[in-house]
Amino acid sequence: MDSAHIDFLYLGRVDYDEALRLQAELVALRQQDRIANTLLLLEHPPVLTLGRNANRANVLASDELLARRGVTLHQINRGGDVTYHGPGQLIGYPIFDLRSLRNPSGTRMGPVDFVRQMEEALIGLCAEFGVSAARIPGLTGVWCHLRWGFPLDECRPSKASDPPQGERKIGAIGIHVSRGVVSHGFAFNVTTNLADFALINPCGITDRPVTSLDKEVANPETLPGLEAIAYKAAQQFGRVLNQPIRQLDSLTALRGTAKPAIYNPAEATSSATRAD
Amino acid sequence: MPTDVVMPQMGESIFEGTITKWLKKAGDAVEKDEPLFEISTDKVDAEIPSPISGILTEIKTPEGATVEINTIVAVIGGSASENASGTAADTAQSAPATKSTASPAASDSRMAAVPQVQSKQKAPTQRVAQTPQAIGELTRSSPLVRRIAREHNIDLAHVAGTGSNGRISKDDILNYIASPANAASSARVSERSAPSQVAQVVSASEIVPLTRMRAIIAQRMVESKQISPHVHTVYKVDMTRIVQLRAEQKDAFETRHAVKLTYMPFIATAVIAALKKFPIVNASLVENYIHYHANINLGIAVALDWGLIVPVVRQAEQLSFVDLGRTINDLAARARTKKLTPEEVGGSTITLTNSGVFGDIFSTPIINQPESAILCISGLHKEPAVLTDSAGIDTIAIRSMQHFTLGFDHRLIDGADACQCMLTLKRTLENWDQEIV
Repeated sequence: MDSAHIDFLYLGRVDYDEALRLQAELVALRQQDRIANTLLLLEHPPVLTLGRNANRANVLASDELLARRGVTLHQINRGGDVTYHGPGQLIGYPIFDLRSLRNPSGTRMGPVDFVRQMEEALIGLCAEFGVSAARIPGLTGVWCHLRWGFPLDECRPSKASDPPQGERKIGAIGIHVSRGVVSHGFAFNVTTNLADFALINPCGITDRPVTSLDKEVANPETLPGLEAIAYKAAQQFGRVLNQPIRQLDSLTALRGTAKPAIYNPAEATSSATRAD
Repeated sequence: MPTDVVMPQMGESIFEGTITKWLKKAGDAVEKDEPLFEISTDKVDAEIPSPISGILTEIKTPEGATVEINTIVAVIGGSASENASGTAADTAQSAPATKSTASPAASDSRMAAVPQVQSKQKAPTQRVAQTPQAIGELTRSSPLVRRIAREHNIDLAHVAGTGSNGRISKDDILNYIASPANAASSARVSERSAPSQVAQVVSASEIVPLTRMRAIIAQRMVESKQISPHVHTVYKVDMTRIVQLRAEQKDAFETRHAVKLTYMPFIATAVIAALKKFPIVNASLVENYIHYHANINLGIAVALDWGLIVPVVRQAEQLSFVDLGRTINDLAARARTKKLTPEEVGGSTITLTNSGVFGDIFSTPIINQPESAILCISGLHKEPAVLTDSAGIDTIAIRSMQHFTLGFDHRLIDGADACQCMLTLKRTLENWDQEIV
C-alpha cells in the first residue's frame, strides 16, 4: 500500500444493494486515503439500474413482467441511462482516486479520461480472447462487429450520429466521481443471457444491439469461468494504468489493509495532499 | 479574499461541462473539499468539491447550463462578513468576469482580422460583427464549435444558437452546415475572406464537392499512410505456363462450369498458398496485439467509374479453383452494377488490386486497413527472357511476364517474410501443377 498499485478482489455474486453499500464504504475509505485504488469484481443477480440521465421509457418491460422474472429496479447516482445486470456479466467497480492517476501525457486524469482507460482495458480483455473490439466516439462503451471495410458507402461509424452498421455493445460503462473518487464502473457481458436486454433499451440506444464474449469467440466452450476472466480484467486495468495489481482474498483482507482512521482533520487533509 | 470557482476539465479532449445540480445555494457556508456542484457528461457525473472554505457568495452558472472549462461558475467569499457586503462584491466580481470571457473572443477576432479587414466594404455584416456586442455573441460557443466554424469558413455571427443565452452548440453549427442554403452562404463567406491571389487561382478551377465515397477513400488513404510504414517489394513472374494452360483450357472450362476462365483464380490460389505458409502477411495489428486471422478473406479491389470498392471472397482457403473463379467474377460484376450486399464488403484480411488492365509495369498500392498487406497485379506482357536449360545453356525466348507488388506494413512484417511469401507466390505460378477442372 505504500507504493502505487491496484488491489482487486473477486466477490462472486453480490446483491445490488449490498454492492452499493460496499462501494459507499470503500469510497469513504479511499477518500480518506486509507486504502489503495481498489477494483471490485463481481456479478449481480438480474437487476435494472437507472442512472442520473435515465429515461424511464427505456425500461420496456412492465413492472409486473420484471417482478415475474425476478428483476429488481434501482435508481442510482452514476451517469448514463438504463443498464441491465445479471448472471454471467462481469461487473467491475473501480474505487479509484483520480488524483492518484495521471494521463500518459502526464496531465491530471479527468473522469472522462478514466472512462477512456476503462474502455482500453476492456478492449484488451476482448483481445485476450481473440475478439476484436473498439470504441465508437460519442458512444461510451466497448463495441464489437465494427466494420473495417474499405472505401464504401458503408464504413465504421466514426461518431455516434453515424447510422449503425451491425456493431454490438459488449461492455457498458458509467461512473460517479465524488471528491475525486470513482464509483460504479463497467459491466462486461461474458455469458450474459442477452434475451434479458429485451427488457430495456440499453443506455437509451435503440438501434444498436448487445453481445457477449461467448457469442464472439470461436469456441465458447473453451472460455474460462467468470473468476478467471475477472483476473484478466484486473491485469488489463494494471496494464492500462501502468500499475502492479495485487489480489486480495476477501473483504476481510481488504478491510485489514485499511490504515487506521486519522482523527486530526488537518492531518487527514495533508495526507490527501501528499497522495496527489 | 473572494475565490473564483471554475468549471474543471473532465478529460483531455473535453472543453466544456454542464452543471447538472448545485449542491449549495448562494449564502451557504461550504468547507474546503465539500461537494459544491455536480457536472455530467454522457457516462460520467462528478461532484466537484469546493476549492476553499467560505461562503458561497454568487452562483454565476445556473443548473442545466453548459460552459467552457475554466469559466467562473461561482464565487466563494472568505467569510460571512464579506458576504454581508455581497452586492458590492458581486458587482466587483462581475466586471473582471466579463473581461475574462471576452478575451477569448478578442483573440478569435484577431485571428479572423486579416481576411475581415480586406473584405470590409463587401461584407457589412462582418463590420457589424466587430462591435463589442457582436463579439459578445461570438463568445457563446465552445472551442470545438469555433474550430468547426474555422474549418468550414463559417462566420458564427450567422449561426443561431439554441443553448442558454443563445449559446451555439455543436449541433447548432452542424445543422447549419448540413442545411444546403447555408452551404452556399458559407462558401460566400470563404470567397469573401480568401486573400485575393488565391481567389484568382480558384476562379479558374471548377469546384466540385467530394462524393461520400471519394471522401471516405481520401480519409482511409491518409489514415493508412499514417498508421502503417509501407514497404513495397516487386516480383517479376514468368506466367508463360499459365498463359498456355489458360489458352488450352479456356473453352472447356467455360463450357463445363459456365465460368469465364481468367487469371484471377490462378493468382488467388497462389496467394492463398503463400499466405498459408506466411500467416503474418494475413494478420492485423490491433491495439498492440497481432491478430492472426483464422481465414483468408480476399478483398478484390474493383475500379468503378465513380470510385473504388473492395468486395470480399470469404474463407477463400476453403474454396476450390472453380469456386474462386466463380466468386471473383460474380463479385466484380455485381460491384460494377451496384448490386453488392453490405455483407459482401468489409472484413477482408488482405486485398488484391489489379492495375494490369491499365497496362502498368508496376504500382505501389496503399494498404487497406486494418490489413497488413496488399498485392498489386500489374500488366501481363511479352518480353525476351534468358532461359537456362538443364545442361546450363542459355537461350533467349519470348515469355509472358507479369509484375506483382506486395505493399506491406513493416510494423508487423519484415522484408524477409514478405519476400519469402512473394517467392512462394512466384514459384506456385511459374511451376503451376494443379488441376483446374
